[in-house]
Amino acid sequence: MIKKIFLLPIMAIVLILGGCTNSNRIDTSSLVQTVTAENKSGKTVYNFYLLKNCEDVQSVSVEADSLEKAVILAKKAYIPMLTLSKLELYLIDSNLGEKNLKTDINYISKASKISPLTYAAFSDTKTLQLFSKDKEALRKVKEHIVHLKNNEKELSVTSLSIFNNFKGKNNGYLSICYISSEKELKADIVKIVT
Amino acid sequence: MQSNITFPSKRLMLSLFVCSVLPILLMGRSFLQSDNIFSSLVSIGFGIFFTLLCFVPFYSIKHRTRLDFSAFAKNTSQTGFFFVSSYYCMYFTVITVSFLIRFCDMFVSGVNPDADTKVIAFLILCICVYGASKGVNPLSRVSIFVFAFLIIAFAVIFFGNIKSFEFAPNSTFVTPDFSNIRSNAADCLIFAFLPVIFGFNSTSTKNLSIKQPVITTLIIFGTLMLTLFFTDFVTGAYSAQQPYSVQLLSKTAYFGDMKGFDSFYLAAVTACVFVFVTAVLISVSNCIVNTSSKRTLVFVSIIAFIMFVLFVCADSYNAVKELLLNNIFLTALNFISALLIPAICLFAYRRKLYD
Repeated sequence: MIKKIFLLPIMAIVLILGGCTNSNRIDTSSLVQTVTAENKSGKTVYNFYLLKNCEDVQSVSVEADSLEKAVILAKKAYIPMLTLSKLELYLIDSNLGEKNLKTDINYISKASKISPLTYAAFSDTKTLQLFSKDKEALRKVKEHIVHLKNNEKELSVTSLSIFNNFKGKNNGYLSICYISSEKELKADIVKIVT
Repeated sequence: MQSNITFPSKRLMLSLFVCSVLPILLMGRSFLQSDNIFSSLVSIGFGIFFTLLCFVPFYSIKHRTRLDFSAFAKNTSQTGFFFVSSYYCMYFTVITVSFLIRFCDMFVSGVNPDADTKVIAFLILCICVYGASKGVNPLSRVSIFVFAFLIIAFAVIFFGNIKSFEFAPNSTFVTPDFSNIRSNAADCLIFAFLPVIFGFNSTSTKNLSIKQPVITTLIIFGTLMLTLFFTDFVTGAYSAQQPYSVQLLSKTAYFGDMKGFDSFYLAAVTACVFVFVTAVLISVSNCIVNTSSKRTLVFVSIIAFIMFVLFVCADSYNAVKELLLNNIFLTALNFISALLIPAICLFAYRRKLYD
């Protein structure tokens, strides 16, 4: 009986020291599902689309040279608890070129919170704007990417494979997905020299 | 604690395997720094040879005298035993803190950057002191469950990465290159702490045969080779960007729409660290022979407290941390603990016999 009485305060101390009283509720408005990088009047604008249960699309936009700087700015200006741990898709405007893609993929590779299976692709401006209106845009784009990958084995669709190809794994060129939505959503292959 | 209950030595080997998985799961980007198969194979071969060599003196002592190393050292020389047991208490303190630092660094970088590592280390040590008070027999039983979970975790991680596996060696992979051989060999030699743990816990075991440590060592290094193989040909250059290769492998595993099994990795490494620290604390408790269990518990608690103090020092001073994480330093300690001192004790024992 005495042992049980001693055990209770010890357990309480362990729980307090372990941080159980300091619960940080994970706010879904801090979880980013999609990041797009578009070219607006010669400047790069990063849009962070958040995981939300409501009908409206929630997003945060910042102007920055790279994804790393954009994350810092977004945390400072809008959402301090912003996290990319649930990032599923990274779309970059094809007008920004492979240099931006390479820099951002390099940042994603170093961030241990971001999944290495994050889809990454080039896109046209119309597709990037789709994400601000259509809540299902992420699902549709992912379906197209997966379908194209199943038909084309050499295609690099994740940040992991794109990074490895930039490091010279695939004989000097990289096949990456290009999403366009002129009339309907379409996925093609683009080859770039690494 | 010394106990009269015996259990099959296969279970002790199982506990050793669980302890050995800890350095594999916590291997960082600097582990076996070579994308060259010849250098890696030579280092691993050297690691297997050295680990087996380290088993020889402890196996010999157990086979001839049925005692663990601590009791054998005390029988051989009462005076020398004080220095031997003090040295091994220091050795066990250093290797425990070394792996606690690695585990806490992984926890902070991969799970929760706000976690206080001192609290994590303190909790692990407190729980393991309790575990050590129960002895090696219960630990070996717990190891069965941990081993079963490890099989599941490794199966999930490896099979989940099969679709991403691309065997595409480049020219540097197959061209012989031994430039990093010294550090690569030191990385493989850190497993030599296993014979020392075996040496201090073998009293209560029965049916020990020479095959058991050999098969255990081969399985450990086989697991290491498989992990390195998957790391090289699944994650490739990406693994150099992240601090823990196996954690990255667990994130890249997928089955259909189910992606990211880093929770399995975290559970596996946490279970292994508890088994390892408990096994080391039991070895510490066996450093003092023929005393009451209460005295032994006090002694183990004091050593655990010293471990915690060393951990806090390493957390505060980078030079201490770098020393404790230096594989060449640990290899040197392993050489002294697993080969040099047991060889000297065996030599002294033979001299005593002839006298």
